[in-house]
Amino acid sequence: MQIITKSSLQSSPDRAVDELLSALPEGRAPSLAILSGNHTQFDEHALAKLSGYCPTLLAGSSCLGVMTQAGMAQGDGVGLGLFALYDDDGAYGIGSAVVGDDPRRAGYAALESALADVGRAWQTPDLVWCIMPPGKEEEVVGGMVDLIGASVPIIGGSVADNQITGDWVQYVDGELCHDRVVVAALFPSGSIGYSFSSGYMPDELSALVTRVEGRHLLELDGEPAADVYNRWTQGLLNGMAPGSSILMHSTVNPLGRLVNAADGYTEYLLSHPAELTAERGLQLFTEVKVGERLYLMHGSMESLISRAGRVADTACQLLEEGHHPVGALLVYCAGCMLTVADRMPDVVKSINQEFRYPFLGSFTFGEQGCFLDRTNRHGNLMISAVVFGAD
Amino acid sequence: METIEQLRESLQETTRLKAQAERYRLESELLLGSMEAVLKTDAPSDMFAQMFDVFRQLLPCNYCFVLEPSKPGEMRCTACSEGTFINSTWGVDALFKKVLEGHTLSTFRLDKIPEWQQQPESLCNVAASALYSPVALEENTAILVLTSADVGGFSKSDEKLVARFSALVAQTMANVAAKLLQSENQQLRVAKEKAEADLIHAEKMASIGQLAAGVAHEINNPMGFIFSNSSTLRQYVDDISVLLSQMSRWIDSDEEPSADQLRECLSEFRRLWQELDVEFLREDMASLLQDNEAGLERIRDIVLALRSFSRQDKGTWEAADINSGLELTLKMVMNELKYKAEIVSDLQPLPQIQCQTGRLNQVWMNMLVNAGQAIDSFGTITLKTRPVEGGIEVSIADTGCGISKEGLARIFDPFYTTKDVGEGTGLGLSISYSIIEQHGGRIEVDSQLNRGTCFRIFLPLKMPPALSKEGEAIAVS
Repeated sequence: MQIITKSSLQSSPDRAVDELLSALPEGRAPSLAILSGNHTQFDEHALAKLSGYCPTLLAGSSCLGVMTQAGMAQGDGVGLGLFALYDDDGAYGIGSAVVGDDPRRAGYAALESALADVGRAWQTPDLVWCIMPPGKEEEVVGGMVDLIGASVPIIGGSVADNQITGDWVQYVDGELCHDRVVVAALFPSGSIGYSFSSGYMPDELSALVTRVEGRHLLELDGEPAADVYNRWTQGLLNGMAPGSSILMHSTVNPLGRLVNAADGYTEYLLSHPAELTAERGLQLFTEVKVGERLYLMHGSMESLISRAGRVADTACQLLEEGHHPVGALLVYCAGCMLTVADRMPDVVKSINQEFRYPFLGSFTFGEQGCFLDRTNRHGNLMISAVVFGAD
Repeated sequence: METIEQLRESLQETTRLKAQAERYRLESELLLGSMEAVLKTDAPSDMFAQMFDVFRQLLPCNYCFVLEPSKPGEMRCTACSEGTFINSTWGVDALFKKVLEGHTLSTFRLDKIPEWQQQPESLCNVAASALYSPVALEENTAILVLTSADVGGFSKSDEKLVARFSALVAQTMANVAAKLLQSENQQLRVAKEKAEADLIHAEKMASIGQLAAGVAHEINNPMGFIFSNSSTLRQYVDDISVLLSQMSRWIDSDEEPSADQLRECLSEFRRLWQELDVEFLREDMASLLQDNEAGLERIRDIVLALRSFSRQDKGTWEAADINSGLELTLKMVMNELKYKAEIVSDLQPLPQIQCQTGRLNQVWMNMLVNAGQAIDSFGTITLKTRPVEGGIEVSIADTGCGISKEGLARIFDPFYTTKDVGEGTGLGLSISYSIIEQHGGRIEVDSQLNRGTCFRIFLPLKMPPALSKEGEAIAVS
């Protein structure tokens, strides 16, 4: 097994793709290729060339760019990264489906086609890697679980653009798409270690959801949700007009639901408030339901910086005994990335300190992963790492 | 310095590692526990039950199966946590082929496999997903199948766990095979011992049959004179009865006899006494009774010896004096031999040896009868015993026709005989050889044509340990 990662800051998509391809050995297609980067770099012509070299390609946009072991690859209209995995003894397949009005069915169908693509329509894969548009991730993940059950980790991220303007993109079968769930079914010859983490702390402040419409949280304990949240955060929303993006402000104070309390440890599923709405509500990046208790969560800049390295290290330790890391895929919440902003090189540094192998990190508008109770969920403000190991 | 938030994050990561460590620990404990349990169980069904219990503790499975190749394209369930599926046949589909190549894998939905419809129908309703693992056996590859009622019931870590357990399954199956083989061997050995015992008994009976004519003759002789003496004795009793009747006339009468009557009676008594020769009768009756007693004793001895000799040997091992057995056997065969040979017996005092007396007696009888049959007219049979280092030696020599070199090479072969059809089984020496071998002894033969043959049998005081165990097995059979 061999993993090669490469990033490019070329402004021309064609030249960026050429630069990425320059890192790959000639005449040998990777078993699996994952492309991530600034949505502005997604160009059909350039990507067609890439997919010619990398037929098993999963490609989706990432907020502002990517990170690799070489550093951040971000910039105005630039930033593209490639993860190329060579594993002759493994098996990998790609599938996709339009999310449309039936996200659950799309999740099911995309995974089904990925398994068919690898010729293992019935075999349990080691891992499912996915990208999907933000909005209905819970249902998409639910569809995959419907097909494959709860025992396979489903890890991935929601494709992102740079300004939350809906410009996120996937590249599937020679076309740029905006509403596709794209799935890779992985049967590596080695082992996989994964970790999915959020280090936020719950506050004593909590309230029950009393009114909600999908991801639009309207009331907490019968009060407008924004008023409750503003009180909890001691005026974080003061002076903000309805429709304002609060994404960066709320990164260190998201809302959390207790989803797992076992063995003395509590696990919270985070919801990132993205926008203050005209109804004094909060637009979230995840769904919540009436009756659920939401806690105010606390995070810090320092933990956002150091967390990725620890997650990668944990994933390494979860590799099969005797296996050594070869490379990794990382998903880093775009909201966290935007908050950390200029200190993102420190994030890469923290990863490199713990993980001295090639990796590709994407910045996403939602993260899907497997919690400690072995349940696949969609959440926000998460960091996940999938490490590939070989003996 | 770590913040509470970082500590909490560390705790989460540690919890993930702890979960994995816990799984390893549980796996190791159960592996060891199940190995111990498996090795302790005797019945194959118990072994599989123990093993399946282990899987049920570790994995969310509702059924466990072991499938073994039965014919091309088909496997047969040889063990199952649910008895109703035993012997059910499973078609070898694409998935099975992959597993048989050595891959442990799971399927998240059995209904995604078209060939699944070939599998036992009743199972299709209760199994939604399954895990398969190859189990390398000595001659073929079996498949361990675990099913779950849930879609996606098995994870990758479950596959790895089961792959590790496959070694346990293989060990279990090897254990089962070994136990079956052991059981089969034991059954075969018991059958062999029984057949051997039956053969020995049959040969003994055949030998006794050969002796029967001589025995009958020996019994008929005393029987003849006992009958004759009895007839004479009856006549004597009748004669004496006449005398006694004469006496009873006056003894039973109330009338006192006169002097004339007494004279007349005495005269009659004297006449009868002389006529009947009562003195002779008294002497002859005592002699006849003595003869009869001697004859009856002879018959009793012959019957006792025959009964003792023909008694079914139960294979009892006991400390015994070989000389006693030889003497008993000699008494048995003497009727056969006394018309053919002079018996010279030189039995020196012997230490007791651990042996099966009945079976050794059969050896002596066989050799003595053979010696007698080797002598055409009249010769000598010399029977000797003596203590030697570590045991005793018995030699039986005859002055008969001898055995050719070719014959010497085959005399211990089963069914080899130089006797006429119907006169010998051809098993006598073969069985004798086997009996002596079972005692840890040996037989040596010297023979010269027309001069005679000498068999020397060495028997150890104690059997070698290896044979001792076999001896015990024979004893309990």
